[in-house]
Amino acid sequence: MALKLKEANLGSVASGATLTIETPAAQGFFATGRLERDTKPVVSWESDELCGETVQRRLPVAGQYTLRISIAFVSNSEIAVALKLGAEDDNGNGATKTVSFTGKKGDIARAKGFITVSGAS
Amino acid sequence: MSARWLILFLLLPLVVHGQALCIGATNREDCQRKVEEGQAGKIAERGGSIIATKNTGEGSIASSGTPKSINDFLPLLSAIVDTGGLGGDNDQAIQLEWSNFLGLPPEHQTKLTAAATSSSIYEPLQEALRAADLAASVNSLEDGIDSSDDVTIAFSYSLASSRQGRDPSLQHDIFKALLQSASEQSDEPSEALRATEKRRQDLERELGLSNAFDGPFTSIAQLRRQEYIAAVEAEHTAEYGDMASLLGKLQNNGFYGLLDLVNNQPQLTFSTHYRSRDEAIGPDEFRAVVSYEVGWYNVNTFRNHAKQSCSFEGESGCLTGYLSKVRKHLSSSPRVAITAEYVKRPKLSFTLPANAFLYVEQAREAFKLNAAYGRYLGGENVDKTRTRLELALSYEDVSDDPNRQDRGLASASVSYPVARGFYLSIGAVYATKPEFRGDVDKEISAHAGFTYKVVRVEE
Repeated sequence: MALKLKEANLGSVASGATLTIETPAAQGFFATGRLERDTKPVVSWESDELCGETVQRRLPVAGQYTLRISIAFVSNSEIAVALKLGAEDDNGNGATKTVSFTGKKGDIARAKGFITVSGAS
Repeated sequence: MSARWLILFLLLPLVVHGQALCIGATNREDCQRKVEEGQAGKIAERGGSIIATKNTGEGSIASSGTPKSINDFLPLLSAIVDTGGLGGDNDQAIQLEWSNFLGLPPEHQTKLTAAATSSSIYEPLQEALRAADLAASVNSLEDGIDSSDDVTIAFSYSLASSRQGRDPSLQHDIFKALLQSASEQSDEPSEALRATEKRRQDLERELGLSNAFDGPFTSIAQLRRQEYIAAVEAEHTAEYGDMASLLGKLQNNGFYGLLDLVNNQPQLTFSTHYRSRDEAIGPDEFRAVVSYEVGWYNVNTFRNHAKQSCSFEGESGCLTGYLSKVRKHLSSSPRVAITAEYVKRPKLSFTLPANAFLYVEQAREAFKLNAAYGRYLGGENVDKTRTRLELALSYEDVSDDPNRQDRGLASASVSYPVARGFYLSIGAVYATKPEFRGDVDKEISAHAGFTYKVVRVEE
């Protein structure tokens, strides 16, 4: 049983940028996700909406965004999960980063992403 | 003390000694690492692991054909060593099992097994040599045998679904509902976490830093540096507290208790074994095996309960109510397996030309029926694994040979977890007509061994 946290700073982008979350298919883990802007909830995702999917979300409003993907492992053996988190605006600003965890049942992992969205591009 | 309170208790030092762990941290990531090392990431070691790889009993060497109540497809790799008879009268064997070697989805559980046995001379051949006054040849033949002379390769397959198979991901509908419910109940992220995050963001604005500033702390004005570091540390501490809260909710809503039910799911397994032996050790052997195994209380019985008593399986309290109802049975998790086996041995011909000795055993087929029963015994060890008892009965009918018909075999074994993934076993076998078995050549024999399950994959 362990708690694992990893962060990814996805940089500064202009409003209208797109947040992308790529999660592998759920084999041995389940996941939930939440996005907040200036510590206020924006959207949340259930396991089925994330696992095996590429989720995209437009970020039209300026602010400090925090993304949290929580993973609950249920596999008997230790498995690896790699999440791809990215933010990009029309000018190509932003970054894409891969956040990787290993875990087995009883472990909780959390990927935390930071995005700064400035005014209109 | 409930698990949740235990976790909060363990996190208490973080709160009490907060804003001290990140002194000397070079940047945000370093501070996070210090917080994790400080306490939160080590909850497992402090609080004891609640879940560990299940003890699935004594490892069964493929060449022995001794049935078990669990065919374990879950560890990535398993190594089983049978150290032979406690009186030195049994063969030693080593076996490697590689699960899901084809990388198939969980609906297709596969396992490849390879075993090498350091065997002795085939018992009927020994008797024939002695009868021909060639007892001395037995010793010289024994000297020429090594473990590569008795090798078994086996392939096992089990078709899995939400109704059968011990892979937790097959029960994703219940797990995802429980995770969602825990996530919503824990109000993730908590107000405490939001407050620390806001404090850090406000400071970054004041100091002209980027969001979640990941540059060196030394680049921050010295006057406000410690204040900022303290804010980052408080945020990390709150984040781990938030994750611990989610973990506590999962423990309380039955998320991990469901795994005990998954462990008891039925399995229908098909396997084929080919044993290649030197002529002096015995005939080659092909075996085709079909087995069905099931534990008393499992996810299927829970789903039936949920249909009758709840609106859906993920309903709050539905699973925890069921788990408390069957807790007594889950602690021992009794499981039975019925196995039918077809065995074919080709003709064996062994000659000692110098002595004009010829031993011939005709090809024969056999049909075996096995029944196995297993259960956990006693309390849990530090890794929450338990001692397991396995009992098995076998009946063998050999075609075209009245002497070999109606053979029986009874076995019992106890496996004891000594370390994470490592189990010591001791077992005994009783055989009727042991002179014909070749593998079990004593009426009663005892043996010992160990099993090591490789469950860790490095990042």
